[in-house]
Amino acid sequence: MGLNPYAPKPARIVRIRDETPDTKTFTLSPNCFEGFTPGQFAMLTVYGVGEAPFSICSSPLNKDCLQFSIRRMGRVTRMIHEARVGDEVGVRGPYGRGWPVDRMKGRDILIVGGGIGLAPLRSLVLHLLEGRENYGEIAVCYGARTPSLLMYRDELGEWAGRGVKLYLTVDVGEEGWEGSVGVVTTILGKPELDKADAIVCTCGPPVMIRFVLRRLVELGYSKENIYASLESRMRCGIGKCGHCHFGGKHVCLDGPVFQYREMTSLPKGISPF
Amino acid sequence: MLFLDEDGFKRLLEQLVSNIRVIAPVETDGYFEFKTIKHGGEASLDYSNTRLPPKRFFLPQREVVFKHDPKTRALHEPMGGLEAVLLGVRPCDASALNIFDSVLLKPPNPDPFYESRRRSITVVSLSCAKPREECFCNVFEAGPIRGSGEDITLTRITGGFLVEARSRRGQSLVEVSASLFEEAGPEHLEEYGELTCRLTREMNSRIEISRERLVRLEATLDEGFFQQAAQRCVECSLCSFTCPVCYCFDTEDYFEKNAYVRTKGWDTCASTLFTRMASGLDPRVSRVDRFCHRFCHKLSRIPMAFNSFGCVGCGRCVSLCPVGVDIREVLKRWG
Amino acid sequence: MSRAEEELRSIVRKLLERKDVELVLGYEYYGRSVRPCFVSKPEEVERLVWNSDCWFNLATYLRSLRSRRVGIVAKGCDGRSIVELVKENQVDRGSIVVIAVECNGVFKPFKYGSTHVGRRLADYCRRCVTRVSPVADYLVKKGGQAPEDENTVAGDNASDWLSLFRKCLKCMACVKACPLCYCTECSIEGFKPDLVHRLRVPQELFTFHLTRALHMAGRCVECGACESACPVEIPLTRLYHELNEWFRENYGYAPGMSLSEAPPPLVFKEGGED
Repeated sequence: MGLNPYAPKPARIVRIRDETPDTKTFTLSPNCFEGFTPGQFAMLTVYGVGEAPFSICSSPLNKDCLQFSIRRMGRVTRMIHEARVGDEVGVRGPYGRGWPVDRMKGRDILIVGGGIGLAPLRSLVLHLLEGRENYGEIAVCYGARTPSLLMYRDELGEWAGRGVKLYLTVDVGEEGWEGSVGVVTTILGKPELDKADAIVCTCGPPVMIRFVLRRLVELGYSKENIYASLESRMRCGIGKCGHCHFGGKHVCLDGPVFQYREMTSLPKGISPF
Repeated sequence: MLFLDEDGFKRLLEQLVSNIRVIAPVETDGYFEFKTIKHGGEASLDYSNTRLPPKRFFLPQREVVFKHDPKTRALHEPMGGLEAVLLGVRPCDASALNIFDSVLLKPPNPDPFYESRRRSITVVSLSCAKPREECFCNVFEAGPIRGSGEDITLTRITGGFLVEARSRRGQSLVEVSASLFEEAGPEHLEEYGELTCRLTREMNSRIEISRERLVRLEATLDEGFFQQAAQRCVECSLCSFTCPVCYCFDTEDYFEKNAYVRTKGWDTCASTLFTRMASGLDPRVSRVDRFCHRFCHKLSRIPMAFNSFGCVGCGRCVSLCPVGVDIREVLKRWG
Repeated sequence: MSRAEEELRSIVRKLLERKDVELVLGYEYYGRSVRPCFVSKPEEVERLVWNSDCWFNLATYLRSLRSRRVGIVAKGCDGRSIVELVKENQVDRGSIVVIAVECNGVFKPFKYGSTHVGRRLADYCRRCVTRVSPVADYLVKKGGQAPEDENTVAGDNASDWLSLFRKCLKCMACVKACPLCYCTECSIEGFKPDLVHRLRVPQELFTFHLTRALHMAGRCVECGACESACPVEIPLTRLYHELNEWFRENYGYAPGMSLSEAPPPLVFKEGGED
């Protein structure tokens, strides 16, 4: 008899950090995965309530724990938000195809995030920073609706200190905000990278991804090198349940990270175009 | 090919019933349904097809896949299925198992619950002598004589049955009662040949399509046609739930009898909830998109991925749909 | 083609030619049975049929066509469901043209794998109180008696609801075929309200059906669409009929009979009668 792919492994919440008014980052221990690629996701179970897919936002090199940034949305996330340090949750994964880290060696990298979409990109940034010397320029363009909705605020400065060029923007400023105001596409032109060769990774709300992809092509980035992480409803994470099946692709197996050209062949709705 | 005479069949059935759980079509309330039989006489082999496919013996409408007791921390693991013989499955319904195998047993994550049931049930199919009016199994080579997922194929001919073992498991079932069977004679094979020819001709005269063209359905989708057809659909899940092939499932967690339970059960792409995310976003928001998805999945995507169609032509959805949505219209237009 | 069909087609042709309506909901042949069809061009009216196989209640489609001027072929019970939909503010009486067809009852639909031969009048039609729709802009008379059963099969007299519900697949055909089941967040469909777990079969089948029955009490027009749509033929209409009887005895209201009579739950006031 094979292993039961529907059974999660238990893990404890060891730390909870408030990111924004509706988002918290949960640190789970032990790390029950043998390894994963940044951009992959896991299914988290609140026992007796339900299960939902979340991007892993910690570094794959962190062997002790897993981190997930979770926004309060539905039933499962509401229950996770009510959890306390010491509570047990279930984890299974890692699932899906992550960011193309193998293609990044020696190249410039542009990371474009919107809102909570920075979560799977954080895993990538941490991974890149561990071997900073192997990559060219690394630029992060990140936008949120308001300054208080920016994720990982206390970490962003540290990234900049370790060789990441950081560009932040918000849709609506608040008192004390001195950075740029406007949607994320307005700052995409700022990083000076080798556009023909740079790898671009983006994640955020569907409408943001649509406009980011359009702008990236206008700016001269190569379609071959553009990747986005998409989301859909999932149940099994292993390509059986049919919920994330769109146009012959399973988001849980063939995604969540898709290459630009793959996205053009997805049916409307799931496709950002 | 072996021959089993009427008397031999009766004796085989009695032998099976006394040794193992036998599930066969039984007439109840004006319908045929698969039920566990206690003696051979209960089984009726004079049926067009059962109202519901035998899907539930392999993929129950609901099954527990995970149980976690917070006190004892005991986990629920998949159990080996009960050994059984499923007798009298029509070739179309047996062919559906072939598609389940492709999807659900696909590495690296085979579904252990399906696997254990599939391994413990021997499927004996019975060829159709009189295909139903709404049948179109010929389109997908899923009948009417032979299907593709069974262990033994029985074909009724004068005086008994022609027996073809289709798998090692089928072979061993035959070997256990070897004395009941005899080698099929030329007259038996001749009758079988004639029957095959007659039925194939009859079915092909109803509907004959190009499978190569059909696979391209998704690429050549004609929205106008689907908009017209989808207008009628009321989005119940009758077609999925009575389909021998529809395997999509949902999971649900709850607390029951001191344990956290996860169940897995039938779901349907016709539901407006199927792709809706917790945020309220839904990538497949229109009725036409949901309607198209069902046909594209069966007729285009499954064949592209697994080289067999996701429909076996049993005709249940055609006959049972309350508003007359007809997959044959899609076949005729694209095939 | 019957005289009634001829009359029906000429009415629909006239409506479409004069552009009184954009679309007419009717029935068309489909194999040996009949299915709903949407006619929007005068030349398409030849598709329309009207016979005792037209069991589906076309009023089910009215809500999704709310923004358009629609004609609808309505049996007596269909007309009653239009009345209820109007009273519940789901459709606008002014934007629909009701082509009432006199009905003598419909047959039980053919079902896959049934051993029954011959046609049988649906059980719910034996209890029918309105052969003609209470609201009508046009009337097509049919005349004649109720269709005879082609063979005598004992009627459903099963009364063990638990064992009947046990057959249920929770396929939602009863809900989706019902013109009066229009809640956008259905409590028995699961997901957000999570009142009845979708996958708890058979444990919650009883809750599922009784919740639905309670919501139908005093509203169900007994058109039988749920029962005829059901793949396992649960005689749901009989359950709703019993609840309707209780409602009528206690509140003196029968659903769908007239546009002016307000349903008791809708005129219920806080703090007693005055």
